[in-house]
Amino acid sequence: MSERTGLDHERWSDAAGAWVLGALAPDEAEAYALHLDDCPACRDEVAALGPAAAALPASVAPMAAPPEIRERLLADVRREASLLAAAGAGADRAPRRRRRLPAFGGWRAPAFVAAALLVGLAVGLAVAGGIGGGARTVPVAVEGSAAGAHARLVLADGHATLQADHLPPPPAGRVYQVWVKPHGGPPEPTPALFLPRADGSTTVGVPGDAAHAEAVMVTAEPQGGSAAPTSPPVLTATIS
Amino acid sequence: MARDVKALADEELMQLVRRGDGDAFAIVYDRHSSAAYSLAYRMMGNRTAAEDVIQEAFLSVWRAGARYDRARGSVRTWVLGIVHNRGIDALRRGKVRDRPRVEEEDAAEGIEDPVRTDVEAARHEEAATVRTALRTLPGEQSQVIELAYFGGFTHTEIAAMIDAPVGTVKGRMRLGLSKLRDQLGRGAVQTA
Repeated sequence: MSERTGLDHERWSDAAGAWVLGALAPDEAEAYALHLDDCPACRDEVAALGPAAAALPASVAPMAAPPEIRERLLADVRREASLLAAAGAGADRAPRRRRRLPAFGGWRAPAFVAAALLVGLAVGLAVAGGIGGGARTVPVAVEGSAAGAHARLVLADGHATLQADHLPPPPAGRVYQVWVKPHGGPPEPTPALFLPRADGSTTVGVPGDAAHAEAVMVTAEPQGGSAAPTSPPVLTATIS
Repeated sequence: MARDVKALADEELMQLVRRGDGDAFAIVYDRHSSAAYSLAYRMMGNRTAAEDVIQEAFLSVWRAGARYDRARGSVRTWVLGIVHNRGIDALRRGKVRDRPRVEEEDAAEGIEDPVRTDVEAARHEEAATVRTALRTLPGEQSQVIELAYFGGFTHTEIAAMIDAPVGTVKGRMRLGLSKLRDQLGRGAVQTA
């Protein structure tokens, strides 16, 4: 450790915890990142504390991401993928940059996007217009308490999305669960649990290979879902 | 799809992602979006801001896939690190800090995924271990850790909030994380 690094170390000797938690101010984080390059003692402490910080997300109650995020994100990604493929490897990604932020707690996500990619994206929207084409809409039978609802199952790009309007909430203490019924087999549970919005609308991604299933169904189940249906289906899309 | 990309490990998927493979990215998203959204919702306290955070974060995963280095941890840890950094950026921009926290908002979206696979079962067990470990920390240590990690506050902001010297706050962070690491080591939690 050099004399300069030694002096620097005194300044930063208690900062590793704040660093791995993301609790240094931006200017401090920049300076600490430079210090880490020269200070093995601080690097060791960051390496020792980092896994504890990285475990913190596991303490959060798990929630399913809204399916519409997936649809938006994958639409963007597939457009960009088609542009990258058309432009060739030379048009690939943004360049690597120097690490500035915690090794644990993550890499600071880049705040830039390759300009060429953005320019290309505008052009590519038209080029890629055919991606995701061939969507198929399957009518959904509504029964029981959902008799006033309107629903459809949209199959596109190998994914199925259930859309409904005027769907009443399930009975108190229950949630709706999506099931995929394979040909000749009983309905299989999916982790897709949902409640309709206040206006009765909902959009739910159907996990698994629904496109090749016999049917997709929705039942009202206890919180957390069930391994087998405990109530008759309120929505049924017969696929094939 | 000719290849069975769903059978690939995360690290193998990331090699495809960095070559611009949208199908591989979709699987990475499916595997980690719930954890990402859960973290973002915990930080932001509302659905709209959490959605913005994970959308930005996953676009970064897609566009900066080449920056993933398996030597520095799992794909999940990397993805959640990006989500965390995006969340901190959003909180510090001041756009959402005054919004209601999770406990105060309609939690209709907060539906826990049921346990369906061995991987999910292991993650439920890991979650229980981490929560237990956090509960064993002295309150003053878990307080500064949670304010920093989930609240996005800097150590100087936290010092002002709890009326303690900055050095004390940093010391509690180090000590709390060190104890947490030891607890998790005993609980055999794998995070990387």
